[in-house]
Amino acid sequence: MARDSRGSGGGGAGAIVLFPGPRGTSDERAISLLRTVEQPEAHPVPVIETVLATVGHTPDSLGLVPLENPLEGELAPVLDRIAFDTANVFIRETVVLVEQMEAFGLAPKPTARTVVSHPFVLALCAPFISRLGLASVTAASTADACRMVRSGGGEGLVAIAPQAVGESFGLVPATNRGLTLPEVRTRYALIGREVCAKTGDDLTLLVITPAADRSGSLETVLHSFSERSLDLTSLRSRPVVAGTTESHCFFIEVRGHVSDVPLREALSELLSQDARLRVLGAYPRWPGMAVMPPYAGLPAASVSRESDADLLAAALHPPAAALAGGERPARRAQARRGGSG
Amino acid sequence: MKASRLAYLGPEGTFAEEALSSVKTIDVNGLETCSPMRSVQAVISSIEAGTFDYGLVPIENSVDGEVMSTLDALVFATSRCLIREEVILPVSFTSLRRVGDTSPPRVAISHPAALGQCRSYIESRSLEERAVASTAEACRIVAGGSETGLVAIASSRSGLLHGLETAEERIEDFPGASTRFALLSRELSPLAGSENAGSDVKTFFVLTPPEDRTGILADMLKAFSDRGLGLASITSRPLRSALGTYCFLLEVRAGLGSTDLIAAMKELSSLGCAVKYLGTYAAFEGERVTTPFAAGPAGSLPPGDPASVDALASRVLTDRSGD
Repeated sequence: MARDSRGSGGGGAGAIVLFPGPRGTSDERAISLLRTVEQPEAHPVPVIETVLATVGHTPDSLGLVPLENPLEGELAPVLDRIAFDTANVFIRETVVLVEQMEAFGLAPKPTARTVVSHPFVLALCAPFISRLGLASVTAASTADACRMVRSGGGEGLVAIAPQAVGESFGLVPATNRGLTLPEVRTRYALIGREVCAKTGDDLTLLVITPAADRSGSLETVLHSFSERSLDLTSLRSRPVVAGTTESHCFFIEVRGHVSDVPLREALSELLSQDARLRVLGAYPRWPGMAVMPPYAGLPAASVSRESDADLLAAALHPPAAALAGGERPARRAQARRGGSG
Repeated sequence: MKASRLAYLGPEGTFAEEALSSVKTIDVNGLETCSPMRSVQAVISSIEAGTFDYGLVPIENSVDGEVMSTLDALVFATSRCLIREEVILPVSFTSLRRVGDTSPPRVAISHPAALGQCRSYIESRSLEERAVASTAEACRIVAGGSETGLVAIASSRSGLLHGLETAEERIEDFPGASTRFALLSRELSPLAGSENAGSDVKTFFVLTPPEDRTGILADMLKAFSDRGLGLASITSRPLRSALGTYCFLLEVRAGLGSTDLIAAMKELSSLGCAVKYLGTYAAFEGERVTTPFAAGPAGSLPPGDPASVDALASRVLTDRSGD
């Protein structure tokens, strides 16, 4: 029986949603974005592992855990825990929290000489921190950073935090010019003991371990999806050790719901090929912004069939072109053309 | 011959510095300088700009998987950096305290990744956590302060460098973890032209398909599998240029001199894929980076039983069972 996405199975009105505390963090704010739980009641627990363990042992319980961010991509420690350490925890919804960072200091006119924030936020701010010659200090959270500033952490100390957090500590925006503060997008997963019911615009997350770790095994897996017109939205290999044997499993997110006939057929085909299969979740596709790498544009220095003929030839015949001179092939081709690279 | 300069993720005492002793393709002791840098991005920028000849940066670890911030910088922000060697270092954490501080540990200080990998130790002792920029910075804080009950979580070597004493060893949640580092340079590695196609040589590519359509990845991989070329890893990464577009980071088990690999790359080019070459290097001998879990995914459906999918689809929609 398929459950209504807003109905039972832990998603009823006023359901408690565990999150890794403390209160006031992005993790808690993300709970307000949930669409399958009416009026969720956020309840902090110490760490992510507590969220996973509680949901794994408690029918009807729900938890929210971070899944992906711009800097780290998909969070392997969280997905690994769900995949390898639990057999009955499923992702049933994903949301993306988008927060614009701001610089906050003590009134009346704070000017940053040292910035304090969570290490992840500081990493995203590294370009302007370096450009402006600022010092940086790490804090456990953006709320902690604001607390340090509020408690008089020193003249010129400015916290990088979302607007709501900075203002909640009574801080005011810094006056520096050139603070190019990032927008942070974080994808979260609502986890429970069952997946979400089909909505018609869904994603299913799978872990597939082919029968043999050999050339072509991934292609065989992908063929089962492509011949049924099932699009993939992410793919990541993960090396595993089972007993004494090293092999790879693949985390694959595919468009469609695990209860859809084409996807069920694809999964049955994979099992008939002796692959091992774990469903990590099925959930409605998030209609808003996606989490992206912090870099704009395509991979730098790629070559394609539209590239300059010399560049392309050098890229496709690198040993002959490059090894004699110990240079990178594309560079030699550019040098022949008089390019500066 | 010009002496060479190497940059690594510092400060002194980091696992990156420890990994330098395992580098084989250059004589580390013969370098003009070995300089600790403030960030991975700073190391990569210094190689790209030519201010340093070599750089050592982490690209994967057992617990966090691929270090995407490093790979993103290599993929999107460099046109000259190449991986010339991979080095894998076993990683173990130690809690370290100031000599003479006999009070019970109260606060654990370390980089967030290290704190995350020593969760059981921290929880079992009800320690407060303080995140800092690196494990070496944690040692510096503990060594230089007067506050009691502080422990730094770092390598034993880092503690030694800062004059700290060991409180407890091997405090990580997952014993046997390891980190893979990439030695970067602007030169091709000696192995770049290897004609080998097998498990001992790897070539790193970034492939960007010309369009986002069903089956494009399977078509791309066919170029390798038709020639018996195996993959060592693959990761998709979304592109900001358009919603729903991706590039793929692949390590192929072959040298760039392999005629099969060249033929595969030509086929990919004819498909319209953009190709970025990121280096050819020997597969590290010995330790491998794998997930820290001792078995495969828990609760997997048994192979060879296609009918179990229907049962699964029903179960995951209606699980009401207790333990």
